[in-house]
Amino acid sequence: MTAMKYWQAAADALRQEMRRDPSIIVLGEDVAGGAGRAAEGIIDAWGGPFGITRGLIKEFGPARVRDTPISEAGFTGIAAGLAADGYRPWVDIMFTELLPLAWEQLTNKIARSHYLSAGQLRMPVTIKTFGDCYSPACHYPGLICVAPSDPYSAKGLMTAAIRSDDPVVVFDNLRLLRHQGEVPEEAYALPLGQARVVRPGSALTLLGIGPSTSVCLAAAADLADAGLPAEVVDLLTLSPWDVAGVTESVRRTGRLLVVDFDHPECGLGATICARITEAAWDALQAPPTFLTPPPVPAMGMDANPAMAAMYLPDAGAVVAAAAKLCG
Amino acid sequence: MPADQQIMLDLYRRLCRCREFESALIRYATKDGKPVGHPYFGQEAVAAGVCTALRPADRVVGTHRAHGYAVAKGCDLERLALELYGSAEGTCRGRAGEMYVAETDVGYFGGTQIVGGNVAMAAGLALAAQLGQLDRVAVSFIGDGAVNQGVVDEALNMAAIWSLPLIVVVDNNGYAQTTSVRYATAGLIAERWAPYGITSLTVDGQRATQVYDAAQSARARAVGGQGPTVIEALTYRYEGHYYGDRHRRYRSQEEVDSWLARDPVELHHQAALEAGLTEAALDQVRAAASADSEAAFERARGGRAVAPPDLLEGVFTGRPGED
Repeated sequence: MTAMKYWQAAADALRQEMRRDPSIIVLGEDVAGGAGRAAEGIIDAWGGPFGITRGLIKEFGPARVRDTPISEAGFTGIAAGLAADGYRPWVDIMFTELLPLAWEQLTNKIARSHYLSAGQLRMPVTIKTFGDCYSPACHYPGLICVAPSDPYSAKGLMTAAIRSDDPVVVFDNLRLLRHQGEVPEEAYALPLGQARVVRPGSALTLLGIGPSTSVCLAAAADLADAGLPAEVVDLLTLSPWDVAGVTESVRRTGRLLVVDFDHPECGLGATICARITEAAWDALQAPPTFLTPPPVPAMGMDANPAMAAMYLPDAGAVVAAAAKLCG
Repeated sequence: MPADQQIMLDLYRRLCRCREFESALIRYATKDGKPVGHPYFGQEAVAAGVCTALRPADRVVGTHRAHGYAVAKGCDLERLALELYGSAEGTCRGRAGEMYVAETDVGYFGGTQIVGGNVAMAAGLALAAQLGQLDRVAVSFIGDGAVNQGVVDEALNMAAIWSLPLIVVVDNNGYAQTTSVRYATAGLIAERWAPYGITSLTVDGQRATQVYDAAQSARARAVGGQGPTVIEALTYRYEGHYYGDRHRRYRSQEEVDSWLARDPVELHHQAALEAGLTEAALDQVRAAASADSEAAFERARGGRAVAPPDLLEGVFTGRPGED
């Protein structure tokens, strides 16, 4: 084990997998930086958003680490073609705000091709992006969506995503980038489709999604002080999510609060509450509920910390909602 | 038989298979209450001309108007007919239908509903060939309407900067659904990507030999590292956008007649005779295409229907990412 920041853990996963599998091709805007100017001595001038792909071009060369033009739909479609012919493209779509530009290729091609072709076309594509807007992608059968919550899951889920023969969208989060944690140095993959209990408890289940897991943990500490031992479950795979694992926790605690940083309507929090209501009905002591930002057309509000603080549910909001649920 | 006669015969064989397969489709499907989809009638020389110039391993992607591309690339007619009939014995177990059917073993990687969407995938297939240093190209058939979708431009730009072995064939049949290319498209299609350094040309899409020659040169350039080519083939669809579309609302009889007078199958029949092939040899090819198509749809009628397990199976590969 070694101490790593979140972004280093994600980068570590990609580098280790590229070493063991030559079919991995990295595509995206400025994943190396300064492309096509090696003759001028310019190489690896940027290294992708927040440096996650820095250094890869020097180790693996420009054929495998490809700076693309600003053409999200185009290079996501190129990834589909590469995947159909046996490669494992790793695609950087900088932020979730850019994902709609690639939506057609991601949904109609990457999510559907394996099923529609009756298994002739495989789409082992990893799409990596930063942001909270994960619910729309979870809508599409055929796509696996994951959201790590700490350096350990960042590396383990990135490795799992790359090794998966099915397409995986990895929702990383800027607010987690500099979180530090203990990470095994060797390669490892976390199982896709499995949530994990990160703090056991009995009074209620707090379900975290990506960066909201650390908010749930902070809230659970406060709740414990107030005599309410909350169990914190980290969802990790957003689609297809671990219905059995979450149900098991809720059956133990009788209460569920999902903390979802995406928009409220037609989102993951609502879906989880609906399913758990059905699956754990006889064990429920309160209606499952979910906490989200208000329905305003903003995402993260990282441009303005003061607005972000108002926008995202914080530990205090989670404590208040939990206390109400247990009241 | 001299090489050029062999090519003339192969072109005729593909033309006839495209024509006869769709003729049988319309006869059977209208009787059996099955969908006909988007007939390729009138455009056959484009798919047949290009696919005759390709190698079996070359990759082809199509559009929504997919019968012609699938047949010309060599998809199994029986399984294709079963697919169009929604049978679990179809090429894609009845899931894909006309617009998404794919048979990768013959290099046909499927169509799409999004008219320009597959150019990007084709660029990826071309990149795979380039990375593997293979003697292989990717061909994306699109229509005149698709040239106005942004993703086509994105893909062609990347194909140009990376010299990808990509051939984009524009079946310019004059109409995007009901909208005339003259209304919807600024400038000339064949000139649109020439400033990118992409070899671009316009051919008579009713003449299979012209299309073949253009595709063969494009293929040679592509595998020689000289990058992509755009071939605009001027052609016409005899039917509407879909079978049953009241296309006379937007096309005059004179216009339709002027194209019917230059039927690609008839024009090539004539050219093949002039190249020294015999009427008997050509008749035999056409009769075989007709019999194969007929047999395919007879078989489709008896295909196993899809059952509930067919619906749910295979959303994922079943191979998770754990080590």
